[in-house]
Amino acid sequence: MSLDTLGIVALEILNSITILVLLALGLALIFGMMRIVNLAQGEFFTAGAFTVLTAVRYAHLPLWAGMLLAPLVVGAIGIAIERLIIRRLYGRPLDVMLATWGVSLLLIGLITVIFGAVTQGIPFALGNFQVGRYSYPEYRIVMTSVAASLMLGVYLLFRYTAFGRRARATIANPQMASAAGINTPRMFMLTFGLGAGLAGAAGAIMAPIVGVVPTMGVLYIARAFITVVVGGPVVLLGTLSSASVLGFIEALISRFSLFKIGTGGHCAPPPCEISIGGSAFFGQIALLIFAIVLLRLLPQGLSGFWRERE
Amino acid sequence: MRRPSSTEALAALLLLLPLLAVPWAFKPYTANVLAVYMIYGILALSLSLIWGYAGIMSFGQTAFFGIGAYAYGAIGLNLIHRTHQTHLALLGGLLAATLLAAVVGYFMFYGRISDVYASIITMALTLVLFAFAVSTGGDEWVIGVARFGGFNGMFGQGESSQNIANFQIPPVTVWLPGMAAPFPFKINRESAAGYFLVLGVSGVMYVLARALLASRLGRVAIGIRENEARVASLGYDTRFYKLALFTIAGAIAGLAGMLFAAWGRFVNPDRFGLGFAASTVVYVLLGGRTTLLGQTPLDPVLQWREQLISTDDVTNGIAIENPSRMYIPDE
Repeated sequence: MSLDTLGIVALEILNSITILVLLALGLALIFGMMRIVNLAQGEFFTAGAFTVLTAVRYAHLPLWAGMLLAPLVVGAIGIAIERLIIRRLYGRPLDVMLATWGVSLLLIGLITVIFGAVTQGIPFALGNFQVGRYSYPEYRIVMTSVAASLMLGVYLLFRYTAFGRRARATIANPQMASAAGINTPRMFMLTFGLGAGLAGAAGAIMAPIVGVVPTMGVLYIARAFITVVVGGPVVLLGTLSSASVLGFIEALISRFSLFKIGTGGHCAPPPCEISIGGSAFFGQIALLIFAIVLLRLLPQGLSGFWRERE
Repeated sequence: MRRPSSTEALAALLLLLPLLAVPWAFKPYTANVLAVYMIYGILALSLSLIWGYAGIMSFGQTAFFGIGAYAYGAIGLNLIHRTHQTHLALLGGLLAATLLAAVVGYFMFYGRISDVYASIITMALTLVLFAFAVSTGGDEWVIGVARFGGFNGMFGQGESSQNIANFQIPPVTVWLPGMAAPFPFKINRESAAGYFLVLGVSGVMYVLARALLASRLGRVAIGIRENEARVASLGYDTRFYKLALFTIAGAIAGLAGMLFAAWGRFVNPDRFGLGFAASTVVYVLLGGRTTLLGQTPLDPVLQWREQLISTDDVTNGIAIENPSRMYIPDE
């Protein structure tokens, strides 16, 4: 393997990790910290993408303005959903799951009614750069830096600010936090809103590279949940490390064909064969299989494993 | 544990008798629609078995349903023209669902993955299978003459596809030694055999589930639901019992999937989708998690409601989603 191939593979791995971090960051707060199985997380992502679409296509704002707007809009949607629905269901995990599924259907329906069930694209002006013989989109580097800054920002927010301390206290022990004078319902609301806003930001950032369609959320929700589950109890660092491991596997299997199976069908041009590995959904399947095997070996997830060793 | 009372046996009989009369009392359309409701009822029963009795909430029970359906379709399409029966297809579909449930169950329960994580793993499983089934639209995705077909669902190809009847997944067809001709279980103006097949399987599955719950496996499962640590400290390997029940439930879901593919002569990726997975959970919730009998009568009511205000139309914009609505009378 030549040096430029190695470089492009490294960039693709980085890109896979970036996407997993973007998808999982909001869910790390909502599911990892608050233990809310939010099946509408994918629709928060979709709502972020559609905010950008509306801003660029219909309000004629610049792309960056749409992307700044998306987390605010989706965060507001998240806060509204928390206040109207989820607040009434804390401590009832199954009911939350079904209620958020309902929210997910409602949001898909609303978005379809407004924008129609067609796939739309968002034009953007960045080009490619050269890695030896290959060219690689510059936008992916922008995505990686945004994902890294979001991750760092959330980490600093929860680690060092008064809000972060209160939110962590609320999640660790709501009654104790409440007795110490923290407005716990407000903390739950803001954390949920932040999680929703981060999903909206992820949707906004990824909107230019994927087809924007009302049902797009379903394609991402499984990977987001798997990443957070594999991350384990130390939510943010766990999510980062599981995104790294799973992204590595996903990128490699998506890129390289492991072997081929002839199928004897009628193809043009013949012969008909299925290549195992070498396409995006084999990457996803490998990610799921690897995650299930990893959880068999490390039931507490990656960060639970470090914790035990300390 | 709650023993199946004589009241419940009576309720089961009262439910069964009117259902037996349906093909004579109504048009084939009604029998056809009721059959698919009962198929969904079998799927709900499989979820009720592990969720209501062992406390394992499998959000992706539809993964086993879909695998059963696809495996039956692939084998059935290939063999129906050679052997004129679907014995092997039935066996293959059942085997595929059972194996998948056993493997996933092994990794989950022997990794001691608990409550909500088990729901998420199974949900991820069904969603990844959805993503997989959707991506199989290309020409290379064939097994013999069976094309996966991506979003459009599975159908046959090649010379036989000139005839629409050969183009579809075959109905359950039996040709035992001693029979003059193969017998297909269809539902049309001449025959209600397919309806009685589904009704019979529903009944057998119900009795089987009852027997299972009365056995040692069922009693230990209920103990696990109530207090897993205590059952473990009494010397039971709870992992094994969970795995066993999960595998059996997966097999039952796979059976329902095969009946579905044979009933609609069609299967598409939506059987793996989040919508179908969540509706199954809703049916079980509303039917009562522990009343196995509750699943069957409630299902038609909910399905009928769904046909009136179909959410699927909003999300997909296509009416093909619910095959019972594109019902074309069989010749």
